[in-house]
Amino acid sequence: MATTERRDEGHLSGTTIVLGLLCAGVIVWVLNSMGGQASEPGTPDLGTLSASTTKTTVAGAPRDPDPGHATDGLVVRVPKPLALRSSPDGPAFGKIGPRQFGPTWLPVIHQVDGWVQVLLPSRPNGSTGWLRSDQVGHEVSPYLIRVHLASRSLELSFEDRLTGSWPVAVGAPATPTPVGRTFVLGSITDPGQPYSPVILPLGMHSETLDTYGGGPGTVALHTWPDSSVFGTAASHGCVRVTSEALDHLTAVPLGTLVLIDRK
Amino acid sequence: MRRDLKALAGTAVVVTATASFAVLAGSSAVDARSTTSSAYGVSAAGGLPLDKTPYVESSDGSTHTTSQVELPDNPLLSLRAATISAGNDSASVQLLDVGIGQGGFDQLPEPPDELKDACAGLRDAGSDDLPLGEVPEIPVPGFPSLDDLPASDLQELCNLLLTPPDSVLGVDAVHVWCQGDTGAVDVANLKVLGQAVDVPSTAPNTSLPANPLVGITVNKQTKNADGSFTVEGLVIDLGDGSQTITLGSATCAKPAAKHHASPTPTPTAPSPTPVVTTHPVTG
Repeated sequence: MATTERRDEGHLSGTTIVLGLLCAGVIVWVLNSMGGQASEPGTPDLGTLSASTTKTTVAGAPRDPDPGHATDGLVVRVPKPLALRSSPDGPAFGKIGPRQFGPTWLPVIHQVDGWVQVLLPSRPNGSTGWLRSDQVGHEVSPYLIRVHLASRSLELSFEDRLTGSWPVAVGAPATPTPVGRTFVLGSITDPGQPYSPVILPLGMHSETLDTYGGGPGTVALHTWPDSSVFGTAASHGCVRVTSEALDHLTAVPLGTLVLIDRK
Repeated sequence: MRRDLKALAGTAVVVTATASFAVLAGSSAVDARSTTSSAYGVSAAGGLPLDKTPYVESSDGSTHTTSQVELPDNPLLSLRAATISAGNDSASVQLLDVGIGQGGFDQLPEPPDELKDACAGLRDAGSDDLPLGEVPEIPVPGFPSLDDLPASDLQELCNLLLTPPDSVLGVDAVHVWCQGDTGAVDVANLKVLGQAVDVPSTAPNTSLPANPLVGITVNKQTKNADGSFTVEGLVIDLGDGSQTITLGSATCAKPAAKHHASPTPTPTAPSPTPVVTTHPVTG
């Protein structure tokens, strides 16, 4: 093994610089290996609660009481791990963290003094939970996405005005797209799924597939290379949209409400 | 630029950005509350200073917004776009494609031939085959030493050493906002030395584990003496305080007296930045 070069007066050797880079690389490696393991300190009571993510099933979550209804667009940002409660100030049944695919944004479906009821990304479909209003950031999504299964179309509204409508492919009869109220959970680019430059996972899962392709059966909005599918029921549950539609949908904030109906 | 980068790279002292939630205001400060909210995209202090850019403030309760594409020519910082807003008791910042020290590594000397040779021949060997001499201990509790790294990880490090990145730090998007005395930060795709770094938490005053090159504090929150509240997205300390950089800062004042009944509108949520990841969906 060679000896490390020593620093010249007022000058650092190349090896010393390389050592600095090496240490930085090691720490980056360790940071990556730690990814997702850290949690908010000072909340030990959250340790025993199941986290609501697209990969989990969380029991005890109240069901969406009005799954066909639009909201006023309020979305909340979860800044740290928070307990999910079954009612305002009620018992905790799970927790929600600050990141899903990106930051966690959830749609508010109901508000009571000091509390908001939000849709959740975990199974079963239609799961909700209550969060303390002062622990989340409040913003508004001016968008609303409607997916009509019978007419196989998607409508995008901005501030209650229809801005676009496109034909889509929905789930085939054996693997139908679920009906109900959900939301845009994330915006991802997946090298393993090159058929769409951007995929928008929703907070909803296939009711007929527990897993698909190694994933948990997450329903998503994405494009498809074969345009003949649009207007048909051909997918495994996802909603395949045109490239033009995706261009509009990628501007939609996370947490935006998605209403899927049988019309 | 070359001198500064060399000095940074050779820094043996670990930079630990310690941020505290400093409550500077006493009870008497209530009488001197600021009514000015403000926000800015980036700033730098130290060897290469940069004024708060772009900057916007609101002292009359109305919302002021500005945006900027690219920064004035400088060797330290670059960005593709910044959108800044400040209102009555709210402020926000959105930055896209920020880079620090871009191109600086082009001026570093070539790695020694012996290191190149050892890396080229690295297969299943251990760290003893790298001509590194005495490698500084990594002063983070529980972190492995280089001797514990498997050969596959050493190969990754060789790749880093022999193919230097194009910037010290890069981040695809930073979103910072405050409303009253609350606020939060979103960070998308942070890279240090070209390597993706997961930000395990964006809880207030989160310091990423120490690094010889870069100390990073995420979501630095400060209650100021004038009663205002500041959230800073990323505070980056290069070279043990010789150069500090702030990416995204939002300061919310105590709400101005509401002469008009119109409530402050809830801010609009940002468009997302796609995250590169693997997650099979139902297709």
